[in-house]
Amino acid sequence: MIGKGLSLDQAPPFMAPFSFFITAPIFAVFAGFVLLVSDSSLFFHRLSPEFLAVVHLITIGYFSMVMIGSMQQMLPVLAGVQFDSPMRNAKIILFLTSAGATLFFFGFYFSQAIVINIATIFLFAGLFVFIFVVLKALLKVKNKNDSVRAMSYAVISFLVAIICGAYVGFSYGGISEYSDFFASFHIAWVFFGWAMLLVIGVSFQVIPMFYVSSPYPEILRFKGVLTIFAILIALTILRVFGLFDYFYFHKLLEVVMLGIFVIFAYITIKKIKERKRAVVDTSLLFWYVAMSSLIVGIFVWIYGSIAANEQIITLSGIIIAVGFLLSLINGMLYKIVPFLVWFHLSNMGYFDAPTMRDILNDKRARYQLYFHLISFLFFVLALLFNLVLFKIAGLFFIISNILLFINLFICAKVYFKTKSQPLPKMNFDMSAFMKK
Amino acid sequence: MAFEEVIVDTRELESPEPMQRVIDSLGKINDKTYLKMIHRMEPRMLFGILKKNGFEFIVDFKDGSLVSVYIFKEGNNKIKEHIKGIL
Repeated sequence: MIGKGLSLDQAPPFMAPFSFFITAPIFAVFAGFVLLVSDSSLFFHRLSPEFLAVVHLITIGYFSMVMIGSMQQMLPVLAGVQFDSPMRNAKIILFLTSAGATLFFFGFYFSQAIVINIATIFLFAGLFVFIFVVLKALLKVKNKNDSVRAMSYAVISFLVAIICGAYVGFSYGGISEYSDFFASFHIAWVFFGWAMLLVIGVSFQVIPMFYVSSPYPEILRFKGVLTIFAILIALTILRVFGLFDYFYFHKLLEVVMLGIFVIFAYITIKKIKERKRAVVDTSLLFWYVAMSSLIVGIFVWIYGSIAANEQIITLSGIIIAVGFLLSLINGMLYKIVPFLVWFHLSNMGYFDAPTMRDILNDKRARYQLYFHLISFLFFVLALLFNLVLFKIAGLFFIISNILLFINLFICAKVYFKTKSQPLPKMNFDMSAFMKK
Repeated sequence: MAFEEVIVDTRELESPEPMQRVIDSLGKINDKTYLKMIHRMEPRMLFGILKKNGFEFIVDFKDGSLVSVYIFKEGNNKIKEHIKGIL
Protein backbone atom coordinates (compact mmCIF):
# COMPACT_ATOMS: atom_id res chain seq x y z
CA MET A 1 0.00 0.00 0.00
CA ILE A 2 1.53 3.31 -0.97
CA GLY A 3 0.46 6.49 0.71
CA LYS A 4 -3.21 5.61 0.89
CA GLY A 5 -3.69 6.40 4.57
CA LEU A 6 -5.78 8.98 6.30
CA SER A 7 -5.71 12.34 4.64
CA LEU A 8 -5.52 15.31 6.94
CA ASP A 9 -8.94 16.58 5.98
CA GLN A 10 -10.57 13.34 7.11
CA ALA A 11 -9.78 14.00 10.76
CA PRO A 12 -12.64 16.09 12.22
CA PRO A 13 -11.75 19.45 13.78
CA PHE A 14 -10.83 19.35 17.48
CA MET A 15 -14.06 21.01 18.56
CA ALA A 16 -16.30 18.49 16.75
CA PRO A 17 -15.73 15.62 19.23
CA PHE A 18 -14.60 17.83 22.12
CA SER A 19 -17.89 19.78 22.29
CA PHE A 20 -19.63 16.46 23.07
CA PHE A 21 -16.99 15.45 25.62
CA ILE A 22 -17.19 18.72 27.57
CA THR A 23 -21.01 18.66 27.56
CA ALA A 24 -21.15 15.25 29.25
CA PRO A 25 -20.02 16.33 32.77
CA ILE A 26 -22.45 19.26 32.65
CA PHE A 27 -25.36 16.81 32.34
CA ALA A 28 -23.83 14.66 35.06
CA VAL A 29 -23.70 17.67 37.42
CA PHE A 30 -27.32 18.39 36.52
CA ALA A 31 -28.26 14.79 37.43
CA GLY A 32 -26.30 14.99 40.69
CA PHE A 33 -28.05 18.23 41.59
CA VAL A 34 -31.46 16.62 41.02
CA LEU A 35 -30.50 13.73 43.32
CA LEU A 36 -29.32 16.20 45.93
CA VAL A 37 -32.45 18.34 46.07
CA SER A 38 -35.15 15.75 45.35
CA ASP A 39 -37.16 13.71 47.76
CA SER A 40 -35.15 10.48 47.69
CA SER A 41 -38.27 8.32 48.05
CA LEU A 42 -39.18 9.37 44.48
CA PHE A 43 -36.44 7.02 43.27
CA PHE A 44 -38.06 4.01 44.92
CA HIS A 45 -38.44 2.09 41.67
CA ARG A 46 -36.33 1.87 38.52
CA LEU A 47 -39.40 2.66 36.40
CA SER A 48 -40.67 5.64 38.41
CA PRO A 49 -40.91 8.81 36.24
CA GLU A 50 -38.42 10.68 38.46
CA PHE A 51 -35.95 7.81 38.27
CA LEU A 52 -36.37 7.66 34.47
CA ALA A 53 -35.84 11.42 34.28
CA VAL A 54 -32.47 11.23 36.09
CA VAL A 55 -31.41 8.05 34.30
CA HIS A 56 -31.90 9.70 30.90
CA LEU A 57 -29.87 12.73 31.93
CA ILE A 58 -27.01 10.27 32.31
CA THR A 59 -27.74 7.84 29.47
CA ILE A 60 -28.33 10.55 26.86
CA GLY A 61 -26.56 13.56 28.35
CA TYR A 62 -23.45 11.67 29.43
CA PHE A 63 -23.08 8.20 27.88
CA SER A 64 -24.42 8.89 24.42
CA MET A 65 -22.86 12.34 24.28
CA VAL A 66 -19.36 10.89 24.79
CA MET A 67 -20.04 7.91 22.53
CA ILE A 68 -21.20 10.19 19.71
CA GLY A 69 -18.07 12.32 20.11
CA SER A 70 -15.83 9.24 20.19
CA MET A 71 -17.33 7.78 17.04
CA GLN A 72 -16.85 11.03 15.16
CA GLN A 73 -13.22 10.94 16.15
CA MET A 74 -12.50 7.24 15.75
CA LEU A 75 -14.27 6.28 12.54
CA PRO A 76 -12.19 8.53 10.27
CA VAL A 77 -9.08 7.04 11.88
CA LEU A 78 -10.14 3.40 11.99
CA ALA A 79 -12.10 3.15 8.80
CA GLY A 80 -10.78 6.07 6.77
CA VAL A 81 -14.34 7.39 6.41
CA GLN A 82 -14.90 11.05 5.78
CA PHE A 83 -17.87 12.78 7.37
CA ASP A 84 -19.45 15.54 5.34
CA SER A 85 -19.40 18.92 7.14
CA PRO A 86 -18.32 17.45 10.52
CA MET A 87 -18.57 20.74 12.41
CA ARG A 88 -22.04 21.61 11.07
CA ASN A 89 -23.34 18.12 11.86
CA ALA A 90 -21.75 18.19 15.31
CA LYS A 91 -23.55 21.47 16.10
CA ILE A 92 -26.92 20.14 14.89
CA ILE A 93 -26.59 16.84 16.79
CA LEU A 94 -25.29 18.55 19.94
CA PHE A 95 -28.07 21.12 19.97
CA LEU A 96 -30.90 18.63 19.34
CA THR A 97 -29.67 16.01 21.81
CA SER A 98 -28.80 18.54 24.55
CA ALA A 99 -32.15 20.30 24.21
CA GLY A 100 -33.92 16.94 23.95
CA ALA A 101 -32.23 15.50 27.05
CA THR A 102 -33.00 18.64 29.08
CA LEU A 103 -36.65 18.79 28.00
CA PHE A 104 -36.95 15.05 28.54
CA PHE A 105 -35.89 15.53 32.15
CA PHE A 106 -38.35 18.35 32.83
CA GLY A 107 -41.14 16.52 31.02
CA PHE A 108 -40.73 13.38 33.09
CA TYR A 109 -39.87 14.97 36.40
CA PHE A 110 -42.84 17.36 36.33
CA SER A 111 -45.13 14.98 34.36
CA GLN A 112 -45.69 17.39 31.45
CA ALA A 113 -46.94 15.35 28.50
CA ILE A 114 -46.38 18.05 25.89
CA VAL A 115 -42.79 18.61 27.05
CA ILE A 116 -42.15 14.86 26.86
CA ASN A 117 -43.45 14.84 23.28
CA ILE A 118 -41.31 17.82 22.22
CA ALA A 119 -38.29 16.22 23.93
CA THR A 120 -38.91 12.94 22.14
CA ILE A 121 -39.02 14.74 18.77
CA PHE A 122 -35.77 16.61 19.53
CA LEU A 123 -34.01 13.49 20.73
CA PHE A 124 -35.17 11.33 17.87
CA ALA A 125 -34.19 14.00 15.33
CA GLY A 126 -30.74 14.60 16.84
CA LEU A 127 -29.86 10.96 17.27
CA PHE A 128 -31.28 10.05 13.88
CA VAL A 129 -29.07 12.67 12.20
CA PHE A 130 -26.08 11.12 13.96
CA ILE A 131 -27.02 7.57 12.97
CA PHE A 132 -27.75 8.61 9.38
CA VAL A 133 -24.40 10.39 9.02
CA VAL A 134 -22.48 7.45 10.49
CA LEU A 135 -24.29 4.72 8.56
CA LYS A 136 -23.88 6.67 5.31
CA ALA A 137 -20.15 6.90 5.94
CA LEU A 138 -19.88 3.25 7.03
CA LEU A 139 -21.58 2.01 3.87
CA LYS A 140 -18.62 3.34 1.89
CA VAL A 141 -16.08 1.32 3.89
CA LYS A 142 -15.00 -1.75 1.94
CA ASN A 143 -12.74 -3.54 4.40
CA LYS A 144 -14.23 -3.25 7.85
CA ASN A 145 -11.85 -4.22 10.65
CA ASP A 146 -13.10 -5.76 13.91
CA SER A 147 -13.59 -2.43 15.65
CA VAL A 148 -15.46 -0.94 12.70
CA ARG A 149 -17.68 -4.02 12.44
CA ALA A 150 -18.54 -3.81 16.15
CA MET A 151 -19.26 -0.09 15.78
CA SER A 152 -21.51 -0.76 12.76
CA TYR A 153 -23.59 -3.24 14.80
CA ALA A 154 -23.66 -0.72 17.64
CA VAL A 155 -25.05 2.03 15.42
CA ILE A 156 -27.69 -0.28 13.91
CA SER A 157 -28.65 -1.27 17.47
CA PHE A 158 -28.90 2.41 18.36
CA LEU A 159 -31.32 2.95 15.48
CA VAL A 160 -33.59 0.14 16.74
CA ALA A 161 -33.26 1.53 20.27
CA ILE A 162 -34.26 5.10 19.38
CA ILE A 163 -37.25 3.95 17.31
CA CYS A 164 -38.49 1.89 20.28
CA GLY A 165 -37.54 4.72 22.65
CA ALA A 166 -39.47 7.29 20.62
CA TYR A 167 -42.56 5.04 20.69
CA VAL A 168 -42.30 4.73 24.49
CA GLY A 169 -41.59 8.46 24.84
CA PHE A 170 -44.74 9.31 22.89
CA SER A 171 -46.72 6.88 25.03
CA TYR A 172 -45.70 8.84 28.15
CA GLY A 173 -46.77 11.95 26.22
CA GLY A 174 -50.18 10.41 25.57
CA ILE A 175 -49.79 10.02 21.80
CA SER A 176 -49.28 6.24 21.62
CA GLU A 177 -50.31 3.45 23.97
CA TYR A 178 -47.65 2.35 26.45
CA SER A 179 -46.04 -0.91 25.43
CA ASP A 180 -43.88 -3.00 27.71
CA PHE A 181 -42.82 -4.66 24.49
CA PHE A 182 -41.15 -1.52 23.11
CA ALA A 183 -39.82 -0.47 26.50
CA SER A 184 -37.95 -3.74 26.96
CA PHE A 185 -36.63 -3.61 23.37
CA HIS A 186 -35.45 -0.06 23.97
CA ILE A 187 -33.47 -1.07 27.07
CA ALA A 188 -32.05 -4.24 25.48
CA TRP A 189 -30.92 -2.59 22.24
CA VAL A 190 -29.51 0.46 24.03
CA PHE A 191 -27.48 -1.48 26.54
CA PHE A 192 -26.53 -4.77 24.88
CA GLY A 193 -26.31 -3.33 21.37
CA TRP A 194 -25.37 0.34 21.40
CA ALA A 195 -23.39 0.57 24.63
CA MET A 196 -21.79 -2.86 24.90
CA LEU A 197 -20.90 -3.40 21.24
CA LEU A 198 -19.44 0.09 21.05
CA VAL A 199 -17.44 -0.33 24.25
CA ILE A 200 -16.12 -3.69 23.05
CA GLY A 201 -15.28 -2.34 19.57
CA VAL A 202 -13.51 0.72 20.95
CA SER A 203 -11.58 -1.42 23.46
CA PHE A 204 -10.14 -3.54 20.63
CA GLN A 205 -8.31 -0.37 19.52
CA VAL A 206 -7.80 1.65 22.67
CA ILE A 207 -6.29 -1.04 24.94
CA PRO A 208 -3.45 -2.12 22.58
CA MET A 209 -2.92 1.50 21.49
CA PHE A 210 -2.68 3.23 24.87
CA TYR A 211 -1.57 0.38 27.12
CA VAL A 212 0.78 -1.51 24.77
CA SER A 213 -0.94 -4.86 25.03
CA SER A 214 -1.27 -7.70 22.57
CA PRO A 215 -4.49 -7.68 20.46
CA TYR A 216 -7.70 -9.23 21.81
CA PRO A 217 -8.23 -12.89 20.75
CA GLU A 218 -9.60 -13.20 17.25
CA ILE A 219 -12.53 -15.35 18.41
CA LEU A 220 -13.80 -12.47 20.56
CA ARG A 221 -13.06 -9.83 17.93
CA PHE A 222 -15.04 -11.61 15.26
CA LYS A 223 -17.33 -14.36 16.57
CA GLY A 224 -17.91 -12.78 19.99
CA VAL A 225 -19.19 -9.53 18.54
CA LEU A 226 -21.25 -11.26 15.87
CA THR A 227 -22.79 -13.59 18.47
CA ILE A 228 -23.89 -10.68 20.67
CA PHE A 229 -25.61 -9.00 17.72
CA ALA A 230 -27.19 -12.27 16.54
CA ILE A 231 -28.51 -13.03 20.05
CA LEU A 232 -30.09 -9.57 20.25
CA ILE A 233 -31.90 -10.22 16.98
CA ALA A 234 -32.93 -13.73 18.11
CA LEU A 235 -34.29 -12.46 21.44
CA THR A 236 -36.27 -9.78 19.61
CA ILE A 237 -37.74 -12.32 17.18
CA LEU A 238 -38.69 -14.67 20.03
CA ARG A 239 -40.47 -11.78 21.73
CA VAL A 240 -42.20 -10.54 18.57
CA PHE A 241 -43.61 -14.00 17.86
CA GLY A 242 -44.72 -14.49 21.43
CA LEU A 243 -42.28 -17.34 22.06
CA PHE A 244 -40.32 -15.52 24.71
CA ASP A 245 -42.25 -16.69 27.73
CA TYR A 246 -42.85 -20.25 26.62
CA PHE A 247 -39.36 -21.59 26.18
CA TYR A 248 -36.22 -21.41 28.24
CA PHE A 249 -34.25 -20.89 25.04
CA HIS A 250 -34.13 -17.13 25.62
CA LYS A 251 -32.53 -17.73 29.01
CA LEU A 252 -29.80 -19.75 27.34
CA LEU A 253 -29.22 -16.95 24.81
CA GLU A 254 -29.04 -14.36 27.59
CA VAL A 255 -26.54 -16.47 29.53
CA VAL A 256 -24.34 -16.82 26.41
CA MET A 257 -24.43 -13.07 25.82
CA LEU A 258 -23.67 -12.21 29.44
CA GLY A 259 -20.92 -14.86 29.35
CA ILE A 260 -19.28 -13.03 26.43
CA PHE A 261 -19.40 -9.77 28.40
CA VAL A 262 -17.75 -11.44 31.41
CA ILE A 263 -15.07 -12.96 29.16
CA PHE A 264 -14.50 -9.55 27.55
CA ALA A 265 -14.09 -7.90 30.96
CA TYR A 266 -11.76 -10.68 32.17
CA ILE A 267 -9.60 -10.47 29.02
CA THR A 268 -9.43 -6.68 29.30
CA ILE A 269 -8.21 -6.89 32.91
CA LYS A 270 -5.69 -9.55 31.85
CA LYS A 271 -4.46 -7.43 28.93
CA ILE A 272 -3.99 -4.41 31.16
CA LYS A 273 -2.15 -6.51 33.77
CA GLU A 274 0.14 -8.00 31.13
CA ARG A 275 0.85 -4.67 29.43
CA LYS A 276 4.45 -4.05 28.44
CA ARG A 277 4.82 -0.76 30.32
CA ALA A 278 4.24 -0.94 34.04
CA VAL A 279 3.20 2.72 34.43
CA VAL A 280 -0.09 3.08 36.34
CA ASP A 281 -2.08 6.18 35.47
CA THR A 282 -5.57 7.22 36.52
CA SER A 283 -7.24 6.18 33.29
CA LEU A 284 -5.94 2.68 33.88
CA LEU A 285 -7.49 2.60 37.36
CA PHE A 286 -10.81 3.68 35.82
CA TRP A 287 -10.55 0.72 33.45
CA TYR A 288 -9.97 -1.69 36.36
CA VAL A 289 -12.98 -0.31 38.22
CA ALA A 290 -15.09 -0.49 35.05
CA MET A 291 -14.25 -4.06 34.13
CA SER A 292 -14.55 -5.36 37.71
CA SER A 293 -17.93 -3.63 38.01
CA LEU A 294 -19.12 -5.20 34.76
CA ILE A 295 -18.34 -8.68 36.08
CA VAL A 296 -19.87 -8.01 39.52
CA GLY A 297 -22.89 -6.23 37.98
CA ILE A 298 -23.69 -9.16 35.71
CA PHE A 299 -23.57 -11.68 38.57
CA VAL A 300 -25.71 -9.42 40.76
CA TRP A 301 -28.23 -9.14 37.90
CA ILE A 302 -28.32 -12.93 37.48
CA TYR A 303 -28.88 -13.34 41.21
CA GLY A 304 -31.60 -10.65 41.21
CA SER A 305 -33.36 -12.28 38.25
CA ILE A 306 -33.30 -15.75 39.82
CA ALA A 307 -34.50 -14.38 43.16
CA ALA A 308 -37.02 -12.10 41.33
CA ASN A 309 -35.80 -9.29 43.57
CA GLU A 310 -36.43 -5.81 42.09
CA GLN A 311 -34.06 -4.14 44.54
CA ILE A 312 -31.18 -6.41 43.57
CA ILE A 313 -31.93 -5.91 39.85
CA THR A 314 -31.86 -2.12 40.37
CA LEU A 315 -28.59 -2.53 42.28
CA SER A 316 -27.09 -4.39 39.32
CA GLY A 317 -28.20 -1.48 37.12
CA ILE A 318 -26.40 1.01 39.38
CA ILE A 319 -23.23 -1.13 39.46
CA ILE A 320 -23.25 -1.40 35.66
CA ALA A 321 -24.21 2.23 34.96
CA VAL A 322 -22.00 3.99 37.53
CA GLY A 323 -19.31 1.40 38.21
CA PHE A 324 -18.88 0.11 34.70
CA LEU A 325 -20.07 2.61 32.06
CA LEU A 326 -19.35 5.90 33.86
CA SER A 327 -15.92 4.69 35.01
CA LEU A 328 -15.01 3.39 31.57
CA ILE A 329 -16.11 6.54 29.76
CA ASN A 330 -14.33 8.67 32.34
CA GLY A 331 -11.13 6.66 31.90
CA MET A 332 -11.35 6.86 28.13
CA LEU A 333 -11.84 10.63 28.22
CA TYR A 334 -8.57 10.94 30.15
CA LYS A 335 -6.76 9.26 27.28
CA ILE A 336 -8.72 10.50 24.27
CA VAL A 337 -8.85 14.22 25.11
CA PRO A 338 -5.11 14.74 25.88
CA PHE A 339 -4.35 12.62 22.82
CA LEU A 340 -6.58 14.79 20.63
CA VAL A 341 -4.92 17.94 21.93
CA TRP A 342 -1.47 16.54 21.20
CA PHE A 343 -2.49 15.16 17.82
CA HIS A 344 -4.18 18.30 16.49
CA LEU A 345 -1.27 20.47 17.62
CA SER A 346 1.26 18.12 15.99
CA ASN A 347 -0.87 18.03 12.88
CA MET A 348 -0.70 21.82 12.68
CA GLY A 349 3.08 21.72 12.91
CA TYR A 350 3.52 22.30 16.67
CA PHE A 351 5.99 19.44 16.90
CA ASP A 352 7.14 20.63 20.32
CA ALA A 353 3.55 20.39 21.62
CA PRO A 354 3.17 19.41 25.30
CA THR A 355 3.10 15.65 25.88
CA MET A 356 -0.06 13.90 27.04
CA ARG A 357 1.29 13.83 30.59
CA ASP A 358 1.84 17.60 30.47
CA ILE A 359 -1.62 18.21 29.01
CA LEU A 360 -3.45 16.26 31.71
CA ASN A 361 -2.09 16.39 35.24
CA ASP A 362 -2.57 12.83 36.51
CA LYS A 363 -2.83 13.98 40.13
CA ARG A 364 -5.89 16.09 39.32
CA ALA A 365 -7.44 13.16 37.48
CA ARG A 366 -6.69 10.92 40.49
CA TYR A 367 -8.60 13.25 42.86
CA GLN A 368 -11.56 13.05 40.53
CA LEU A 369 -11.37 9.24 40.56
CA TYR A 370 -11.60 9.27 44.38
CA PHE A 371 -14.76 11.40 44.32
CA HIS A 372 -16.20 9.16 41.61
CA LEU A 373 -15.56 6.07 43.74
CA ILE A 374 -17.11 7.65 46.84
CA SER A 375 -20.24 8.59 44.87
CA PHE A 376 -20.39 5.03 43.47
CA LEU A 377 -20.18 3.63 47.00
CA PHE A 378 -23.03 5.85 48.20
CA PHE A 379 -25.19 4.93 45.20
CA VAL A 380 -24.83 1.27 46.22
CA LEU A 381 -25.40 2.00 49.92
CA ALA A 382 -28.49 4.08 49.09
CA LEU A 383 -30.09 1.15 47.33
CA LEU A 384 -29.12 -1.37 49.99
CA PHE A 385 -29.88 0.62 53.14
CA ASN A 386 -31.56 3.98 52.77
CA LEU A 387 -32.63 5.97 49.71
CA VAL A 388 -31.72 9.21 51.53
CA LEU A 389 -28.08 8.31 50.87
CA PHE A 390 -28.81 9.19 47.23
CA LYS A 391 -28.33 12.80 48.36
CA ILE A 392 -24.76 12.10 49.51
CA ALA A 393 -24.14 10.11 46.32
CA GLY A 394 -25.48 13.10 44.35
CA LEU A 395 -23.20 15.52 46.20
CA PHE A 396 -20.04 13.50 45.50
CA PHE A 397 -21.24 12.91 41.95
CA ILE A 398 -21.48 16.69 41.44
CA ILE A 399 -17.96 17.24 42.83
CA SER A 400 -16.58 14.40 40.70
CA ASN A 401 -18.06 15.78 37.50
CA ILE A 402 -17.12 19.40 38.21
CA LEU A 403 -13.55 18.12 38.55
CA LEU A 404 -13.90 16.16 35.32
CA PHE A 405 -15.18 19.27 33.57
CA ILE A 406 -12.24 21.32 34.89
CA ASN A 407 -9.72 18.67 33.85
CA LEU A 408 -11.12 18.50 30.32
CA PHE A 409 -11.35 22.29 30.13
CA ILE A 410 -7.67 22.60 31.09
CA CYS A 411 -6.76 20.20 28.26
CA ALA A 412 -8.66 22.40 25.79
CA LYS A 413 -6.95 25.47 27.24
CA VAL A 414 -3.55 23.94 26.44
CA TYR A 415 -4.76 23.36 22.88
CA PHE A 416 -5.97 26.93 22.30
CA LYS A 417 -3.01 28.51 24.09
CA THR A 418 -0.43 26.56 22.05
CA LYS A 419 -2.38 27.17 18.86
CA SER A 420 -2.25 30.91 19.42
CA GLN A 421 1.57 30.87 19.48
CA PRO A 422 3.78 31.01 16.37
CA LEU A 423 4.88 27.68 14.88
CA PRO A 424 8.21 26.45 16.25
CA LYS A 425 11.32 25.92 14.13
CA MET A 426 11.37 22.33 12.80
CA ASN A 427 14.23 19.93 13.21
CA PHE A 428 13.85 19.24 9.52
CA ASP A 429 13.70 21.64 6.60
CA MET A 430 9.98 21.45 6.01
CA SER A 431 9.90 24.20 3.41
CA ALA A 432 11.97 22.08 1.05
CA PHE A 433 9.36 19.35 1.19
CA MET A 434 6.23 21.43 0.92
CA LYS A 435 4.41 21.49 -2.40
CA LYS A 436 4.57 24.82 -4.15
CA MET B 1 23.16 3.80 -5.36
CA ALA B 2 23.32 2.93 -1.64
CA PHE B 3 20.55 4.05 0.64
CA GLU B 4 20.57 4.30 4.40
CA GLU B 5 17.74 2.87 6.47
CA VAL B 6 17.09 4.43 9.88
CA ILE B 7 15.02 2.11 12.05
CA VAL B 8 12.50 3.58 14.48
CA ASP B 9 11.25 0.69 16.61
CA THR B 10 8.06 1.75 18.38
CA ARG B 11 6.64 -1.68 19.19
CA GLU B 12 6.74 -1.20 22.94
CA LEU B 13 5.70 2.44 23.10
CA GLU B 14 2.25 3.66 24.07
CA SER B 15 0.36 6.17 21.97
CA PRO B 16 1.30 8.87 21.00
CA GLU B 17 5.01 8.17 21.60
CA PRO B 18 5.36 6.17 18.36
CA MET B 19 4.22 9.20 16.37
CA GLN B 20 6.40 11.49 18.44
CA ARG B 21 9.49 9.30 17.82
CA VAL B 22 8.85 9.33 14.08
CA ILE B 23 8.30 13.10 14.03
CA ASP B 24 11.53 13.57 15.98
CA SER B 25 13.37 11.41 13.43
CA LEU B 26 12.02 13.11 10.31
CA GLY B 27 15.05 15.41 10.32
CA LYS B 28 17.26 12.42 9.49
CA ILE B 29 15.53 11.89 6.15
CA ASN B 30 17.40 13.11 3.08
CA ASP B 31 17.91 12.09 -0.57
CA LYS B 32 19.68 8.89 0.47
CA THR B 33 18.10 8.17 3.83
CA TYR B 34 14.66 6.90 4.77
CA LEU B 35 12.96 5.81 7.98
CA LYS B 36 11.61 2.37 8.72
CA MET B 37 9.05 2.52 11.51
CA ILE B 38 8.25 -0.85 13.09
CA HIS B 39 4.98 -0.79 14.98
CA ARG B 40 2.38 -3.20 16.32
CA MET B 41 -0.55 -1.52 14.53
CA GLU B 42 -1.14 0.64 11.47
CA PRO B 43 -0.37 4.24 12.56
CA ARG B 44 -3.16 5.83 10.54
CA MET B 45 -3.10 9.15 12.35
CA LEU B 46 0.56 9.58 11.50
CA PHE B 47 -0.16 9.38 7.78
CA GLY B 48 -1.95 12.73 7.65
CA ILE B 49 0.96 14.43 9.43
CA LEU B 50 3.46 12.88 6.99
CA LYS B 51 1.48 13.82 3.89
CA LYS B 52 0.96 17.38 5.08
CA ASN B 53 4.67 17.84 5.66
CA GLY B 54 5.92 16.54 2.33
CA PHE B 55 6.66 12.89 3.04
CA GLU B 56 5.56 9.73 1.30
CA PHE B 57 5.25 6.33 2.89
CA ILE B 58 4.88 2.67 2.01
CA VAL B 59 3.13 0.35 4.47
CA ASP B 60 4.15 -3.29 4.68
CA PHE B 61 2.00 -5.81 6.54
CA LYS B 62 3.99 -8.90 5.60
CA ASP B 63 5.68 -9.35 8.96
CA GLY B 64 2.89 -11.21 10.81
CA SER B 65 1.41 -9.04 13.55
CA LEU B 66 3.84 -6.19 12.92
CA VAL B 67 3.49 -3.26 10.55
CA SER B 68 6.46 -1.58 8.85
CA VAL B 69 6.12 1.96 7.53
CA TYR B 70 8.84 3.21 5.17
CA ILE B 71 8.99 7.01 5.14
CA PHE B 72 10.86 9.13 2.60
CA LYS B 73 10.81 12.55 0.97
CA GLU B 74 7.89 13.14 -1.34
CA GLY B 75 8.87 12.61 -4.99
CA ASN B 76 12.04 10.64 -4.22
CA ASN B 77 11.31 7.92 -6.76
CA LYS B 78 14.73 6.29 -6.44
CA ILE B 79 14.17 5.50 -2.77
CA LYS B 80 10.62 4.43 -3.53
CA GLU B 81 11.85 1.92 -6.12
CA HIS B 82 14.54 0.73 -3.73
CA ILE B 83 12.00 0.09 -0.95
CA LYS B 84 9.63 -1.67 -3.34
CA GLY B 85 12.53 -3.82 -4.41
CA ILE B 86 13.32 -5.01 -0.90
CA LEU B 87 9.69 -5.78 -0.01
